[in-house]
Parts: sequence; C-alpha cells; structure tokens
Amino acid sequence: MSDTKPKMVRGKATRDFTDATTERRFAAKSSHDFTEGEFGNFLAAGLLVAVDTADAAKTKPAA
Amino acid sequence: MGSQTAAGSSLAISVASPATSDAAGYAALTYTDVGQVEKLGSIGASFAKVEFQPLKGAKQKYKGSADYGALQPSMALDSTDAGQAIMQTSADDESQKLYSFRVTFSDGAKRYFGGRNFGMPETADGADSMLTGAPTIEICTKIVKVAAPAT
Repeated sequence: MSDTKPKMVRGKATRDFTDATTERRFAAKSSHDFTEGEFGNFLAAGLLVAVDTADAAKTKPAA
Repeated sequence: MGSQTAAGSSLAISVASPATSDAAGYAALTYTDVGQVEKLGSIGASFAKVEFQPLKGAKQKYKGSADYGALQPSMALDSTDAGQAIMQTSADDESQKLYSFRVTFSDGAKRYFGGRNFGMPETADGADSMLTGAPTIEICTKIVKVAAPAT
C-alpha cells in the first residue's frame, strides 16, 4: 500500500456548503485544503475558487 | 451477504473520468456523496427485443441493442449540499461530457458508470411534503459491478 500523501490544493469557499461524504462544513469565504479530486468536484460546481486566483483578483489594480 | 434493505445505500458523483473503464479506474476517482437522497431507482441494462414472425412457426425473439438504462433518484433539495450542487452542474452542462457515478449498497457493493444528467426538475408538491429534485441520469457506459467486501 502506498503511503504517498494526496496532493492538496487550497481553495476558498464561495458560499456555505457541506460535503456529505466527509460531513465537513465550509463557511463562505473560508479557505481550506482539499484533495485534488475534491477540489475538482467543488470547483466545477462553483462552490470554491483557487486561493491564488482569488488573491490575484483581489490585488489586481482597478482598470 | 444475502438479501438486504436499501437503507444506507448512497449515490456519489465525480466530475472526473476514469483512466480505465474498470473497477480500479473508477475507484481511483474522488466522489462526492449526494445528500438527502430518498430513492435511487432502478439500475441495470436491458436489451431491445427484435422479433420476427415467420409464416410458419412461432414468433422468434432476439436480443437487440443494449441500453444501459437511466438512474432516476429523488432527493430533498438542499442548497448547501455539495453533491447536489455537482448534480445540478451536470444537469446544466450543455456539453456531451460524461460524469462518473458510484452507487454504494448497504453491504458495501458498488456500481460504477459514466452518465449524463439530462435534467434535474424541482418539485413543490403539497404543504406536507419536501421540495424535491429528480434528476435523470442516462447511463452511457457499461455498469461496473464490484461485490461487497468479504466479512
């Protein structure tokens, strides 16, 4: 059995949501580490954004 | 295990596709459980019936094309449930993308398949009923069956 830890991706919740698989609850605007698979599923559903993307948007100068 | 009730069964979805269309390929994906599921419905392939009636003799019947069927679960709508949000995304998806699904029975047996969600209508019935969603997941791949783990 592999003891390789899954790669984690940091994401920020866009709204409150619950993962019925793990029963974890995520509050809107809170940041968490997700496995790549979780991240892909939640990102596709618009439940979170990548933290880097969010930070970049925040620091982007106004046009 | 022999007979079992449906209680404890679950439905899960992944936006990813398996590298191989077998149990190992599907098991390697990360799924998100769909919450508040009331019923899963029927799952399984059926074949079209091809008939021929000769002038002499009984009607002949042949198995035609396979149809992997459709899963039609029902669930109480929950706007905070991640699995339902992914289900809604798959219903709204206008592409031909295949989503991966996993049905788990209470004894741990699993059914994996790829499918497309053709819609998730919401139903507001009488006052003493829950708001429900009823997606239609057309099964587009052979269903991969995994037996319950030995106990």
